[in-house]
Amino acid sequence: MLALLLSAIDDPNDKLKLENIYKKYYQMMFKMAMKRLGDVHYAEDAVSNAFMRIALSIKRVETDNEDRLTAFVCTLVKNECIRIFPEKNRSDKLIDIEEIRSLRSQDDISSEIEEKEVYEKALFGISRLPEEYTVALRLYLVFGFSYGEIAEITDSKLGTVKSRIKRGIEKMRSFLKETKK
Amino acid sequence: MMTLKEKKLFSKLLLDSALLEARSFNEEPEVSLDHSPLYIAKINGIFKGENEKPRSLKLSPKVLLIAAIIIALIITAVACAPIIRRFIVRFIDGNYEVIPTPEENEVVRQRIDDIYTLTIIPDGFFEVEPQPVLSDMHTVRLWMKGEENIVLAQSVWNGGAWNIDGERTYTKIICNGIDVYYSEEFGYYDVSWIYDGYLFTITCPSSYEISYIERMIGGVKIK
Repeated sequence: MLALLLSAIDDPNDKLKLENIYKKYYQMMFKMAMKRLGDVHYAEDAVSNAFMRIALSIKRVETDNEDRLTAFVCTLVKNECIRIFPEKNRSDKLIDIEEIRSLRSQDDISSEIEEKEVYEKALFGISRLPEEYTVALRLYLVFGFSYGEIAEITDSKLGTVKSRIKRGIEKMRSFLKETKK
Repeated sequence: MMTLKEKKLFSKLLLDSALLEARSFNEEPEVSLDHSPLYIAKINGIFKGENEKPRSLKLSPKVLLIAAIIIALIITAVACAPIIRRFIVRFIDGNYEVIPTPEENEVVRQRIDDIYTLTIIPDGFFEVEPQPVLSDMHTVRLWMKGEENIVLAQSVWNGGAWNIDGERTYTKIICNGIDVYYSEEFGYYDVSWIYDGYLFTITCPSSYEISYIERMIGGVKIK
């Protein structure tokens, strides 16, 4: 199956797409992996594995939406870091509230969310979610992968994926509830 | 169940959290690394479409357990190779052929050099003598008690396969370190084994316990 998927990158457009992604995100992927894993060899493993995942999903990678592509690459690197060295990721830094504000001012991405305070707090809450939950939730809700695909990508059991997504959603609901109080 | 509004909101929050995370690395200094040949080969392989599935460094307990079982099976198979091989039987024309173990093939004979006899016999049985030696390849000794009898057949073992009746069910026991096969039919046991270059068969009433038969086997000695 995998051989079939990989041989499917015969399409010159897909190859070009892949090359462009690599050129564009190579630095970010390495910085992220190095920061998290602190070792060149582990980082190489994480980046090459994440890149392999991108290659396998190349048909559904949206290159015309830079934000989504960045988020996708970031999620896959994060996932590989968790797979390689789970304990290294537990103390991952929380997103600073100022960074959230700067992002809002750049992209006005909270326009659909009525209260900016709620949005900021909810985003801050997400940064506190266990990383495995965040990866599963992103792949499922943002990028539309199925439970089975997520289980394959995250090297987890189907039941684990389902429970991470279910619990993740419950936690996000509770963040929102708390922030609205 | 999530509402559409909820789904939209959560997607946006998750996407934004990923963007924040990605952008947090913008300020990090550029990475300038001399990559390992393995990494370069891997990346080139991905572009050529000939790489393999991302490998996991994490071994789950389940995988470790399966690996341990496989290793244990291999070790057992190596340690008990003759026993394992003993179970290799071929079904030919209604008969099974039991493949002999290397130990059983260690001694092969062309003729009977020593005649064996039973030294442990149930009370009341007496040996019917003289039993003619059938040939220099086979001998039979007979003990009787009323209508019951016990037979010890001794044949030269010259290697090759060992035929057993395919319609019978044989049970294997290990007696004094020797593989012994027995079956029961018409009130009699048929017990066979190979030892010292001979194929022995004891036929005796099945009213006796197998433990007693084992003692009889242990008591088969040169006359």
